[in-house]
Amino acid sequence: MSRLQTMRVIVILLTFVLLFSSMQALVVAQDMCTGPFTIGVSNSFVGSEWRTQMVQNIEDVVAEFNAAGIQVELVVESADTDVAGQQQQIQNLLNRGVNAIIINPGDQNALNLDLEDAVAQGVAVIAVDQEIGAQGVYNVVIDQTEWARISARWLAENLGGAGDIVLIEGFVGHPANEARMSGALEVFGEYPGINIVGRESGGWDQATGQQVMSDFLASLPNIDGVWTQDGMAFGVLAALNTANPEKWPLNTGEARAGYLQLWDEVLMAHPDYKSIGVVNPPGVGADGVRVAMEMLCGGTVDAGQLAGPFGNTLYVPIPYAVTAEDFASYYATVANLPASYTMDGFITQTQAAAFMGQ
Amino acid sequence: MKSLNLQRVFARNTYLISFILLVIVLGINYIVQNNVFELRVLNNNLRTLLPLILLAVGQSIVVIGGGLDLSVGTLVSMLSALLVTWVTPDSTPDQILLAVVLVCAAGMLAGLVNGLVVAYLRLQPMITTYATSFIFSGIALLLLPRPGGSIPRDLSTFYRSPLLDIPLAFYAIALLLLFWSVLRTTRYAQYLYATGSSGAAAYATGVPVRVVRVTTYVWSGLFAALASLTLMLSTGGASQANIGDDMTLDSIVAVVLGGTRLSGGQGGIAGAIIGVMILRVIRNVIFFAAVPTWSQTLVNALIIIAALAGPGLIRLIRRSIGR
Amino acid sequence: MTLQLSVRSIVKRYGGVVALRDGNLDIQSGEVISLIGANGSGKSTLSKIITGVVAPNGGQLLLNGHPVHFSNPQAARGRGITAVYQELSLVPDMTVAENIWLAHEPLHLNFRVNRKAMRKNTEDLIALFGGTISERLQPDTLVTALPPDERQIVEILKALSIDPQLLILDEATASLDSSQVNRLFSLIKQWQAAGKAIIFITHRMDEIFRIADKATVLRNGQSVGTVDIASTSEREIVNMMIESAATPDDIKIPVVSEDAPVRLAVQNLGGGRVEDVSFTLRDGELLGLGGLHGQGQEDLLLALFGAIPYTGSVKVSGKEVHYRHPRDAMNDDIAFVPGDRGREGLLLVRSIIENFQLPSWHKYGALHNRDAAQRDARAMADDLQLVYAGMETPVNSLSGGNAQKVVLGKWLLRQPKLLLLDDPTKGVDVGTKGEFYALLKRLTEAGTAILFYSSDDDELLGLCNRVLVLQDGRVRDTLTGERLTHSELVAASMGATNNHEVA
Repeated sequence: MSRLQTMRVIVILLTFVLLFSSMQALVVAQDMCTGPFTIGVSNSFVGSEWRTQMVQNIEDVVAEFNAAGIQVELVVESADTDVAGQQQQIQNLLNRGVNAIIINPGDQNALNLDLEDAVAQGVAVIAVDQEIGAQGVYNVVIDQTEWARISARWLAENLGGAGDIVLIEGFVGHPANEARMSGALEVFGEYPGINIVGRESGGWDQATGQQVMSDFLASLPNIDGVWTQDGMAFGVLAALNTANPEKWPLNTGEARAGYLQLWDEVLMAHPDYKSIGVVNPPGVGADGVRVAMEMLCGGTVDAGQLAGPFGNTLYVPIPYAVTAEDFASYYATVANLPASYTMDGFITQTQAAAFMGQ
Repeated sequence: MKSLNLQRVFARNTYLISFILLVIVLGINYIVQNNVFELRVLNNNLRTLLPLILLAVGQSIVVIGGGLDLSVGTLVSMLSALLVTWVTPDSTPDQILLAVVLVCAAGMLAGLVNGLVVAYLRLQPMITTYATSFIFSGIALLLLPRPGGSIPRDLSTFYRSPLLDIPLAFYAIALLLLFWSVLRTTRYAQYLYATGSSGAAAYATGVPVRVVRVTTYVWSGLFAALASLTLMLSTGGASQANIGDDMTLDSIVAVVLGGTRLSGGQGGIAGAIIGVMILRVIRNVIFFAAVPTWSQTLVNALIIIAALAGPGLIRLIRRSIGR
Repeated sequence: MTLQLSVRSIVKRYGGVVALRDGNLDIQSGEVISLIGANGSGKSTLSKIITGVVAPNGGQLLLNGHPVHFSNPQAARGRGITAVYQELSLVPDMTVAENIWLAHEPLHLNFRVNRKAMRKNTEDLIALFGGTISERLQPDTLVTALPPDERQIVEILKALSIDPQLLILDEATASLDSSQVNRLFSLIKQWQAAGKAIIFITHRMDEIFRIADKATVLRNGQSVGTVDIASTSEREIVNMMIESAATPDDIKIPVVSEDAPVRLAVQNLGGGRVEDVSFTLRDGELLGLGGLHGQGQEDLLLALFGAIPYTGSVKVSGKEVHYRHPRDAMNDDIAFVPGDRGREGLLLVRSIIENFQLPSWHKYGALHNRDAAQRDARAMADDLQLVYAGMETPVNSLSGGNAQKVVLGKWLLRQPKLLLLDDPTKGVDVGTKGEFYALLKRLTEAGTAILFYSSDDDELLGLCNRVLVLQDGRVRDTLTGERLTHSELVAASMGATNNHEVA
């Protein structure tokens, strides 16, 4: 790894550290805003590390506010539940008298009426991770289309703009998958030399992804590249590692500890192996809290920055992507973490304030 | 004589113990959440509960008749998918009425299938309805592969607002109790309890046991349809292929919490309604008592198990004292 | 309206078992006919066919000369035929009134049940037994809250509620006390005078002579004749009930000498259906328990095994004991082989060896000594001449006889000193029975005391030197020596009274 790349990593990490320490100054600047506030969180799925990190990031940010002298109480409704269950979560939060709700909606539409009720009661509602169309609700998410473009562009460029590739996608019809596929297809469309020779669903499941990749290797042994996303990438790399074909196609990866650990293992036998892992940060929950705090402190969302399918989305920047160049330094940070740990990041309070209008 | 009467009152009105339990947990809820009896809070709580209440009512009829219906949850999913594929925000009242009738008919037809298999092919209710639950789930996925659906906004607004300062769900519960008190006076109710309590004795007495068994599942199908209608009113018509799947177990737990024995022949729908409320109030208490996030599920489960075990424990203690 | 019912050559099979091979009966209005027979003679089956509860495989019912076919109980009730069943047909969670009027509730014009009329009618019916029942028996009492005699009365009232033309009373007096029986008999006389026909099934000889006009006797599923009560004797009826069958293979177990130690001494034991039973059993003795089904034999064995509560004195090897749990009895080297193999005796889907070891795991240590267990199990299987594919085969793949050997074997592995057997040869083929008898002989020779209930009279008479005959939970007679005959056994089971001097 070159000095330059090491520097880059250090700079990124330093930025986070600096932002943490500068927080106090930033917050104090909003002198009128000392609380007390109550922020409610509604999470309807607890089976993944991603969601756990999401809730933990939220707790961290709230602790940060409290340390800065702003009284923020956090109430979390987090349990595996269905639509009716999440409706009850929302109502419990409202009955608790929260000032803001951060929600990761379990359904794209079914909660809208309840959230609109909340907005009508003067509660700031932020949906994270999943964009919804409820009126008065703001979505705080990363741009899944752009997220997909980054890895697609990396693949196309590293193939020299030409070659046969296959796509392994998530749940067909799921909004996140559709957004990602449109981004990836848009990029590949810019390269006339790239031919998509296969497209299958791996259902966002590691084992299915591995199976689909094995099938591709058997039926299309000469492919040059594989574009995939999330947990399926681990399955793809595992399939490659197991099959060890004569011709290793280039594959996109993911920014999770487990993938980087496998990547490191693959490097032992294949020192030239390279991949990319774009971060899909659980930190969007914390981003939501930051935006909500700005709104509670009198800020109004700048309409000019709103985008997305329902025109109510604030896209937070994608933190970073792991590539072969800076692999070693990132790997060092996650080498001992559980495989399911997702590489993370969240915006600064200044960035959140920048979403507000004058 | 007096004590015997009291015993009979409890034996006949099995929900009384559950009712006392509900009053206790509501009292605790009030301590930790002062606004629980405010109209808005009450309305919202009851509104989200109504689908499960309806489902548990259907379940309790099956259980009283000596069966069990594990397909109610996926049946709600299927019927919801059916409803939102027929109804759009632009549907006319006539079209909506037709869709409602068809959904109810579909629910009863699904129940009829369950009932015929259980009563005539003599397959175990648990196995039969577990198997059909996958059929319903499969049809739901076919009808609604991706989440969606929407109904006229006026309908949801009406459903979500109190009527004459009383939550709409109160009217629904009152109607349910009225329906049951009328049904309870018919010969059919005698057949139902006799079939569930002792099918062989009922048969020897000339009760059409099989027909009664079939009807219990048809009721369950009808109530699953009503549950799915209210669920769609509550979500504004937004559905997904598994929207009701999780409701099956809750409906059974509610029936048992309401004092209805799973072996049949005893209990009533009042118990099921109370059972659903207890489930909800327990969750409220846990939330408002500030139980740490990651312990909530466990605490909830422990309280429900304690509530379920309560009557058995009381019996056990009474017997060991009696010895 | 008069009624004339003829039952002609009725056949009923349950699987391969023939319950009724040639059932015949004639009855008409104003008659009381007693239907009698030994265990398994087909009385209950015949009454169930008449009332439409089970469908016959052959033969004919003629009602007033016309063939009829009752596909369910409702159909028979529609023709005024109903029964008071031996196994109660009451719904426990419903009230007395609801039970009596189930399926023919009085209705209002708007189809709602007329509870007022129902209560009133019930009170009228209950009044028939007024004075012989407690205050507890009210229209609104739950049936679960009633004692057995009053449940039986509710059952009778329920049958009466349809105002039947033909009423079958199947052991209806079994749980009634004498004042209730007297009341029932005076009611029967009234019904008879009012033109009802009554079929009366009982195991009490005296009752037959008190109430019946005629007696139709069944033997082995076959009607062997009808006699006028006025011109017959108990002895004649008993002779009709028994077959001139050969006594089984001569494996008579030798009489135990008077000096053999007393293993079990029972004084005034009561519990379940058992009342005031006393006897002693010596080491090496095979003591038979006889009588009709359900006269307390099973409860006696269960009480001795500590499985049901009991009163009275029980001494095991001279030591006064009071078992509260089968474990206590097992610790005193007592074993019980239950009658219902599937329900109590075996884990049907588990392997032979698991079933064998179940009561004796502790013998093989906390860390299961598998080799020793296997060795002992094999030895036992060989000893029992068990036919099996391997020790790991599930028990439900074995034949009835072999399965019964496993039940026996699992208890014999504990080497009991006192063995309680509850009808062990029921449903077992002849060959296995022979092996089983030989085994009993070996066990008694080794000094094991055995209390042996059998529903097969041949078996009791052939094997035992002493047989206690139970009726209504009491020891009606003790048969030994010359009196070990079929007619004595049957007479004692029916409570016939005029035979004692024969001994």
